[in-house]
Amino acid sequence: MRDDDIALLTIREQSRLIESRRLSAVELTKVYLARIERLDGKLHAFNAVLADEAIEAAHAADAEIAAGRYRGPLHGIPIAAKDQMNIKGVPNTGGSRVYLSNVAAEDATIIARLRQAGAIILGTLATHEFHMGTTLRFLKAYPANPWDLSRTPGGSSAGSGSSVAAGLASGSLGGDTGGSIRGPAGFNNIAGLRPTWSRLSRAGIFTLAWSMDTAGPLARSAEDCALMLQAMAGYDPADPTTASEPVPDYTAGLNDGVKGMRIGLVEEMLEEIEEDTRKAVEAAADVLKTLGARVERISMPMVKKVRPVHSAIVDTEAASYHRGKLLQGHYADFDYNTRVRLMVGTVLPSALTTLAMRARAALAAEVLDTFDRYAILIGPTNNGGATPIPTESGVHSKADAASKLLWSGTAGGAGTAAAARNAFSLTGNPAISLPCGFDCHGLPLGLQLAARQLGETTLFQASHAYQQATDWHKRHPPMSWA
Amino acid sequence: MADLTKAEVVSLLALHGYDVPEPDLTEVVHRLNALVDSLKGLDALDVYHVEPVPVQSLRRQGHA
Repeated sequence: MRDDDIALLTIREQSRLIESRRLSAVELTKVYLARIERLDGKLHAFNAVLADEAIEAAHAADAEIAAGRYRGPLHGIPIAAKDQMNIKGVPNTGGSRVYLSNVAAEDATIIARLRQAGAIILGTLATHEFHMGTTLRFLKAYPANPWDLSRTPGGSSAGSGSSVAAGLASGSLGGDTGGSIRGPAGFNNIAGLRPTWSRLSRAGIFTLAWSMDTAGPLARSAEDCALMLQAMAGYDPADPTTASEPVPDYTAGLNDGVKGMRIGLVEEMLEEIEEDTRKAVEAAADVLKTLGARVERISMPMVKKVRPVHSAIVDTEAASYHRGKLLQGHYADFDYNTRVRLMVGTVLPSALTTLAMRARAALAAEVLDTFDRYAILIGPTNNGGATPIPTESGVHSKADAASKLLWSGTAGGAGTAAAARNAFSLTGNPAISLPCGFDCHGLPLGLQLAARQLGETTLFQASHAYQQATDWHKRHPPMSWA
Repeated sequence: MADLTKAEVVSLLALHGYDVPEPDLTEVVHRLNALVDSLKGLDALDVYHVEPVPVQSLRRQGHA
């Protein structure tokens, strides 16, 4: 098998080769390091490549496996993490010049758990500053989309999306507060899971907004996301907000199919969506119907109201989180769009923020009621394919600001698709983006599926059924630019 | 209701200890006024019977 083919296998496929010792962890790690060396000069996916550490860990993995101590499907698998998570001895910058010298003393809990499962940490990945999704000035160059270098890979988990799509890692970790895992997954033609808020520990991870932040996996299939989540999920005393409910076996029901499953296609999420995306999502709904699901069009009116609700809550929480650094003379070190949003969040009247919190609770009630009747909700991830790399904020008037309503969706497609992502961030539900087709420019489109809180098992079951019936996720960027 | 003026926003920022330079300040004013207008639109939803609890009980949603 050629190195390029090995690089684009799924984690499940690579793990079978490693377990049977037809592929070593060192060989696989070297494949990725060589591709990073060859391709990342144009993609700018990595902030730091941990080549020596990764090779050392790969040798250790191979030795363990040879000694009969195979740990499971992540053993010997190279994973890269968004530059938001503590990796012992490595700078965790949050994508910001404010934290360039912030070297982690310990691993974040989810990094430690991945290592425990045998994964190899390959490096840190480019992110929009503090995960806001609107950065103009990255630590290195603006990350590029492997499907079209003039387009964004989405945000904020930019490198997490492009690295997996381009075959620079087996899987990656991202962070999602309003769609920052799902958006890049959609733009890069990979799977990306936002788990239930509280399912993964946030210990050792930079905050954007406490009440919505969660890390999550990005990979080349939903099954791979399940394997990664399995290794990381569960209560963590270092993060008392983690759920104490037992972690189920996320792969046990993968092949149970969707026959008889009630799935709601949310009408509001398709309003004002461009035609290619609408057709792709409707075609995906038809696939699920063909597989035996009971797919019905449903209405969730609150979804249309969530954009300012999300912006108000995120920006006020972020303004509070960063207040210390802002007052310590670091204002100019923040990216332009970041600091402007932090100032808006600082002075937004508290009564209006509380009004947004009431609307959030009303949305949650609507979602709860809907999940009484449906196991899965579906809609688009983004509004069309990846957008051109921006060069300015684009806000020169109140009307500009209102038309974006508001800025947090600019890297992931504006309008109702951003609202569709924001909605499940506000309510804490798990949601995944899967490849579902291409637009007229040949750019990938994403399908979003959401489930009840802690309903990841059902989410993976429906996702796997869809991916067994389609081949969108098996298509990789041609990378003629390489 | 009229938009907040730049001078009013400067005063609000000063209250929090910030002295924001241009061009940032102009954009803060635009974005703040747009967001305030959007949020005031939520009044029409009649959400005043809803408690502003951030995340609903996991128990109520059940475990799929």
